[in-house]
Amino acid sequence: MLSRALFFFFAALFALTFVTSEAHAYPWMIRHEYTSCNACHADPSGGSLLTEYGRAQGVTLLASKWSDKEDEDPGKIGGFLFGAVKMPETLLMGFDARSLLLHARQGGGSDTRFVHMQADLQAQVTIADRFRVNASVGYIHQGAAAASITKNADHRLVSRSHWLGVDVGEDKSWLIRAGRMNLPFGIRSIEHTMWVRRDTQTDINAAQQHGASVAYNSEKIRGEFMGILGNFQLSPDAYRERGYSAYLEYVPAEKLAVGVSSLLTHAAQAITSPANPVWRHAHGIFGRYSPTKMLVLSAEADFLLTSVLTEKKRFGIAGMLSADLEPWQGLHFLATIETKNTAFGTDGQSLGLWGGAQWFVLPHVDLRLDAVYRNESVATTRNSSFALLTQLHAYL
Amino acid sequence: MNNTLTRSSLFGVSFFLLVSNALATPGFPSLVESELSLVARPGCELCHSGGVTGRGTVNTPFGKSMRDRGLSAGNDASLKTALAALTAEKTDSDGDGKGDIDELKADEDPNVSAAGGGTTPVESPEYGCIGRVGTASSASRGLALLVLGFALSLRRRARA
Repeated sequence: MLSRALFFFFAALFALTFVTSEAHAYPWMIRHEYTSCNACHADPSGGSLLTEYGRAQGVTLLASKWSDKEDEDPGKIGGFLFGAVKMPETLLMGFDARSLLLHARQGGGSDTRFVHMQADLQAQVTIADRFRVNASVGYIHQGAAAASITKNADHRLVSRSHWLGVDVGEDKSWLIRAGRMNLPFGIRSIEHTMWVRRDTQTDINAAQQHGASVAYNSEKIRGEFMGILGNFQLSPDAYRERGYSAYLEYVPAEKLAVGVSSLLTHAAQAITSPANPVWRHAHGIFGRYSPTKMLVLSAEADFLLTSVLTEKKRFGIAGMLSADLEPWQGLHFLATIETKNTAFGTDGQSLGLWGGAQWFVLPHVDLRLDAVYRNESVATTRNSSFALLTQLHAYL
Repeated sequence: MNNTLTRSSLFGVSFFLLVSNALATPGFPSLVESELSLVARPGCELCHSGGVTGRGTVNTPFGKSMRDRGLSAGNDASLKTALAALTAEKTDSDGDGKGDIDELKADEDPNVSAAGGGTTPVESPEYGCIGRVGTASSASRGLALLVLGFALSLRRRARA
């Protein structure tokens, strides 16, 4: 009886979220002593497609508990299609759908809209135990232009990531990849509009680039270096950025991780000033700490430099401090303060405040409510805005 | 309780299918046309890179100039204010010596700067690899129904 209800419930959720940003990337997993991401995710630096182990943790560690059973087997319901289809060990599949009801106020006006953020199918095949073929394809109503496959003005097919990889080393601690991938930089999270992600252009919504990367994961150290060849879903070639992006993270204590990031790119034409070449820098530090299991603190600060020929160089910073409180399994209360100034001497300091809650109500499903206030300085103007976001995320 | 959950889920699907396209993007192009008395309505590519709309795509030189002067989505008043500011400041987003508003009124593109004496305009960015596909406005509903139908077939198979 319950499974029947679940079928309908999840079918409805998937349908409504499909009528439609970002998969899973939860830096607060450090509270469970998961300092690295590759155990649960196909991407060695986290986010998106889950491994079988990651699916099991989604049931045992993320979702709210609705029974008192301690030894409940997580395997079946956490699996692809709730375990209805037995997948071969060499195949990972996932389907992520996220939708958003947004109400925003700025100036004298307001805007209410329903946004289809994500509807992505992801898969990975492993060949001869070492070689991986990974790809995603999805549908988006608006936004995520840089990940577009089709050239429609809206209602587009997108492919956020697609790559070939090989695990190297006796314990597969190295992964070499080539293709379109998330940029390795800073704290990877689903809040792609947060300034540390937006102004470094390293979010997991549509900021992926094509290139080659080497990633390393061990108990104490993890990192990834990516040579960027450009976004080949953007034309002409003159707009494509070339350079590198990298991070290195060290775990000095059980639930403490600190790291550094660096990014440098060059494009022959800047999108915002097409007649001019542009250099873009982002270099920063980040950290995650869980003093108690209930609380995780995350912080990131990045130095920014954008240099467009014929324009004044823009030096700036972006930073954030975030707290995640989980008093009961599956229910998170979130608070973030962020700041930025992307052009010292021209812009003023901007301030953002986020408050919200995320509830992993059932395996495969989470609800999220955020209230975001921003006071943003851009050139000669300063705008205050308030937004209420209600998100529904579900995955198969 | 399970029947209630089932009915609630189906109601939720129906509700979201109905409202999914009810909240449309404001008509900024027509407002620009009327505010500046243009001879033709500008396209979305005036402000949106590659003509691709949605949040985070207002990155053309003109679009960026407008954002710098307070333009915000869904706010008609901010559009009028930004246009007035560009007019007063004689802003030239593409640096070709002719102001943005003058170029719009002359049915020219304020994002394109002619190089080499006005003979070689800079190509605008375009997203995507393959051509335009389908009409799409009903694609989301169709896909949602497909998912629901697939789930129903799984349920029937599970009961068999």
